[in-house]
Amino acid sequence: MATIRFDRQDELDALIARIYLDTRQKLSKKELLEIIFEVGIQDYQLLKQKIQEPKKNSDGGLRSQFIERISGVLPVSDADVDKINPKSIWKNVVE
Amino acid sequence: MVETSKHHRKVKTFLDPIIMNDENSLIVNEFVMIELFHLLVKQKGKQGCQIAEYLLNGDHPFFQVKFDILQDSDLNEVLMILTKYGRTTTIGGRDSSIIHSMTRHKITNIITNDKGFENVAGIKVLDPIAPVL
Repeated sequence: MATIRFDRQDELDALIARIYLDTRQKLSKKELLEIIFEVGIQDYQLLKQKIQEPKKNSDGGLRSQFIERISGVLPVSDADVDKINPKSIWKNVVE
Repeated sequence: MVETSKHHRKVKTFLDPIIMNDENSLIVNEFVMIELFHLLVKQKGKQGCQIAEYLLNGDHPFFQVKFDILQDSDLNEVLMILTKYGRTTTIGGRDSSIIHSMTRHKITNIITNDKGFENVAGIKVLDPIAPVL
């Protein structure tokens, strides 16, 4: 098992360079640190594997999913439509 | 959320591009979330609860809940906001907490149909259902 460690910015830069050579992916320090916080730095192969994983969802995908999950999903009877008034809800008694 | 609302299409047309823009983040504070929980559960029970849980726990980094009333100084700031706007506008308790959160996070745009925010200095109101002039 290959191991890695760093405690200085120079070592972080060196790790980014090593990852770039191995994976052809150029990470920012922030991106690398986020991955390190997730999988640790003890196992370089695991770190590399994590970096090479296809992204589950792009941000755009998450945004589309967000819209799908909340938009138009709440059927309310005609009698109740547009009667929701956030200004008055605090005055109502909670069952 | 309510597809049968007469405002749904208008709100959706307004909101979807904002949500889809990678440069935008949506921020709500704890009081808005609690209010939303109440509305959802009151209107739709378990189904409403599931939507609320998704908003609270789902994978959507661009939609964030901020917890801003943490200490006496926060309440004091809310009190100052209410002192400034509470008597002369429709800004109420929840609204004052929103203004407090916006100030803390340096947010200037609010999406709301509440006209009260138009009276607040430094805030730009984006109203999805306002008539287009």
